[in-house]
Amino acid sequence: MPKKKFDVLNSRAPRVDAAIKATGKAQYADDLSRTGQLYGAILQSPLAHARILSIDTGKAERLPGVKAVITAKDVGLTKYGVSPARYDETLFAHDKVRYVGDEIAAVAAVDPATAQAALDLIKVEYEELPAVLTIDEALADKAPQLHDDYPGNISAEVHQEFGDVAAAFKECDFIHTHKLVNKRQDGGFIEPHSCVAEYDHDGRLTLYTSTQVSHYVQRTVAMVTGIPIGRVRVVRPCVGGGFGPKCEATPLELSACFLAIKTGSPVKITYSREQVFLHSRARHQFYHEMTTGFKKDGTIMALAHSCRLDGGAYSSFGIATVYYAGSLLGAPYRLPNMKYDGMRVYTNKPACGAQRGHGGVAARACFEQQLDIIAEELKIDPIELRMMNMMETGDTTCNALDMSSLGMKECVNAVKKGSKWQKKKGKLPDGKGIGMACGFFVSGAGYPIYRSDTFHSTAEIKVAEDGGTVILRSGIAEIGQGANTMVAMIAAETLGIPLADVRVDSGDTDYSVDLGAYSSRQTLMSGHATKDAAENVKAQILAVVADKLKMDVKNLDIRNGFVKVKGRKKLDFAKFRDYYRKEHRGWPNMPDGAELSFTEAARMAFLKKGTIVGTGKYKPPILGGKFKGAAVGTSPAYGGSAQVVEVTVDRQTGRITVDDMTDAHDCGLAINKTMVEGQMQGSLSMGLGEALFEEVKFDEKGHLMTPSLGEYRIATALDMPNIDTLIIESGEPNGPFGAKEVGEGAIMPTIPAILNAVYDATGVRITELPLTPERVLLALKEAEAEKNA
Amino acid sequence: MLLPKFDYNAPATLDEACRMMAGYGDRAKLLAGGTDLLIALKKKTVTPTQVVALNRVDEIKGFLSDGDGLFIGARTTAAEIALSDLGPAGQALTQAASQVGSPLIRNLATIGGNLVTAMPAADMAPPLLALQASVVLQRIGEQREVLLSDFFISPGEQVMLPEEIMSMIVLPRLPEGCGGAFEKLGVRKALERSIVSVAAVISLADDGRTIQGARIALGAVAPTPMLAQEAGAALCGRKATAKNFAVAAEIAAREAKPRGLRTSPVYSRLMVEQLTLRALTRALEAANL
Repeated sequence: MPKKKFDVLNSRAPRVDAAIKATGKAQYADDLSRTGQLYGAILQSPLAHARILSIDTGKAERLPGVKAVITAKDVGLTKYGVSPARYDETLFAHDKVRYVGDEIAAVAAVDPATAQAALDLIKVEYEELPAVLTIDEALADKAPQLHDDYPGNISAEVHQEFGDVAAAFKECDFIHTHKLVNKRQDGGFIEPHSCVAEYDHDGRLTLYTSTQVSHYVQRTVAMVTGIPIGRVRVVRPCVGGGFGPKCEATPLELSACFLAIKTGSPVKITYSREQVFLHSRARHQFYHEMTTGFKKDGTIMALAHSCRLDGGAYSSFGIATVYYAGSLLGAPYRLPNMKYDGMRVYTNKPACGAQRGHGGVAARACFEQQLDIIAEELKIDPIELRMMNMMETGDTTCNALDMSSLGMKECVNAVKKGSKWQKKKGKLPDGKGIGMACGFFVSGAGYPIYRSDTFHSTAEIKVAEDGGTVILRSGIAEIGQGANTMVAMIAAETLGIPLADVRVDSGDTDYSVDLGAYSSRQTLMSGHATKDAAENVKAQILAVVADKLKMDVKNLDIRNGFVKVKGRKKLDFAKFRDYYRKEHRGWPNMPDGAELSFTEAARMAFLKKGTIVGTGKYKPPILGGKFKGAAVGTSPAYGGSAQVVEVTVDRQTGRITVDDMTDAHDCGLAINKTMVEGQMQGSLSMGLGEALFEEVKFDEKGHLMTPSLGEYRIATALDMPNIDTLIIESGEPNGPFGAKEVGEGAIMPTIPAILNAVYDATGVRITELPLTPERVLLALKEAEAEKNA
Repeated sequence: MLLPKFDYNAPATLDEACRMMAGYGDRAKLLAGGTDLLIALKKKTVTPTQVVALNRVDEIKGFLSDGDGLFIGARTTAAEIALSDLGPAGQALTQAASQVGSPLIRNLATIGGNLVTAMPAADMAPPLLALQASVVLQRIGEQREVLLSDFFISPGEQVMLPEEIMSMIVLPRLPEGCGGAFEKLGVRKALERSIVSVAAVISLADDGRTIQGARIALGAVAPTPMLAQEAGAALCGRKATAKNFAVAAEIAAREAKPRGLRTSPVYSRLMVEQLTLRALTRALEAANL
């Protein structure tokens, strides 16, 4: 695609919310306060697995200041969850609790201290049941069962084969098997979940909540409370990060809604950091085993892959996760034969769900190490091996994913050059290493979470009646990543006006349908809907101008805030200007420039037609194959990335220092270069933390041992090296202005690149994360002992 | 997590604070930087009805040195210690102070607080043990000086009476030719509880090579911060060589009593050996500067 010149896009425009965030004026859910607001608190199970014999809320209800206490008896037993195929949660446990943290009751009181005190007065009698805390325990004969509907503690199972793996293995010169296990993660976002629910006299429920998915929350709240969906409004204030764990309706939100309905007063609830960990819904623990067959010339022939996921007590996103863990290996390398057996298992721990790079991160970490092993076996440079097998634009994977644009080779070349790979690979002293890996990710899930023909995004643009401001209303989720800035830039570019003239109101289900911030979908999908709405508005305005000036509308355009005639002609608009000046005598900023301004044109359109409003919409075409689970992994476009990492391994302590990271990402077109780089840097930081430090731990009774960001270690500024971010723009035909994802794909190569660099530094492959000093040192010592034996 | 209710007392002098503590006894907790106490209050692991804040008691803040040694006020913050010049041996302490938590925590956390909480991994305890520090404990009309090596009892427990306030830390004057160093191993580079920490202070004879005295102290590898006495003793009268340091490091590893809570005892001992070697090497460099 030839590179277009843009007036707004592809720049480093400051974020539209920069000022309110820099000055602390931004309002997050916990900053909100409504007249007569009550405070909620949730009673959570102290046991990992137990039958509930009785619940006595009498004392709590009688505590002065308590306005409501609710249990399953009050809210019913409507099952909900993420995928309708796996609705396995009720708001409150009624027959038994399934993890330490399972919700039993909620209270609303005049202040937080009274609400907490009331929790202590609720008496629950339990009959403790044996718990299963690991996959092996859960799958053992006669293991205690979590859910009657899911025998054997199996939450989901996937068996897929594309091509003929067994036949392909027979043609292979080498077959190699490799394992990897990661650890349960947490999103580690700064803002804990928080919400305020309000129920008005007309039976309308409004929920202000820190979420990535206002639309899905609206749907679930309506379903569980029984309030018609049109009477449930979900509003998202500023959000301090999500990364996946804020991608579904939470017990926090549902409790606040029920308490608001019961009391008639607004109710606020905010999770403590410990409750964020207990709610979890973050990255699973994956046990991968991969067998790859290849020819001696380096051609990859087949992959046999099995994976078991420790799911926790409920499904959450798990059914999608278990599919993604397999399907996301279909690219970016040509892989004609692929077999996948995945199984997600229930255990008595908080439920896992989606987190940045959903399902694919650990799989990628395992597979990309295997490519390095193969390269070493064949004495081929790991970059060369990858380039030999790399897909290109137009390729389709064995599992029917269409690479409508793929700048992978450009990414690899960029990091190779940027990192000075050739000067370093194989030439670094002992203890220093360099490693690389690639990855790719969807640019928006091809299908909604529930089966539907809904548009994935709609948008509404209204031009203020004075013609001076364009107001974009959208359901998109600005969660810190810059979604508001992205749509504002697309609207400004499309309309041909300066960015400063666009105002974005977003995150309200009253404004539009948008499925939210997950699966890296908003730039492509919400961007398309915005562009569509802006084109509509522009056409309406230009039609009025053309009519007034008696010109063919096809010859008119708007750029940089002025109406232009195509070609070299000058626009003759003297009469137009005269009329405008007379009409608006006394207004400030009377136009007097040599060109007809957008404001004048838009005002004339209003005077002729009334308020100018344009709507836009987007949904992807039908995508993917016909097999079971074919939907998971489909997307209108795919982003790709390559990374080179350099490390130092302290051979005496096992401590790893990441010295340098070079990252290239194909985002199709960078709407905003600074924000693209921010996503790349954030992804690398999260990947580095996951590779080196992060692990959610439980004791033998299922109690959380890492309930704070002191115990659960995400990377600090001191742990991050400088990152060289290289933007690759392949021009995506299915994306607005050629744009596609960057938010998640960039994390894919980080962990394997670090693992490959550690191998390069030490000659030892480590197959369990995180790479703590102890794990690394013991692996080094073991390897040394083996060598000496 | 909410703070429970308590009365907040803000004495202006040490004497006033002592009188309050005498009155409240174990119903009260002292508040200095608050980096530990506030968390404990929120978690309800301590439940005082009275909090006695020391933030107005300026007489127990800062440094004072005389012919006998150096006195550090117990309310002196980690940041203030990290930025101070305590000489080549005192580097062991300044290096430890500069690795406490993060800049935000160092601006609040105090040296006294770091000791009274009696955590096995307290960053400033090993260097103070190696520097032969003692602490001054104050109550109405009475003060006593306790050697830091006699101060700790078990995790979270030390010898202080409920009404006592730590007023200062005393570092005896060391002879010329001393050097010190601190080594901390954590998983990440900031906001980190030590896996193992080691402080070493050595004093060299006039020849610049013979070790007259050596003190090695270990953190996070026993129920309390501890001195590796045999390891230090093994260096006395010996030459400061890599070989002798290695012998001492091996002894220190044997002296450690790791409980295997966060890392395996095998790894903890290996790290004691490695970090002792590094600390001694750097202490020698400091002594020779």
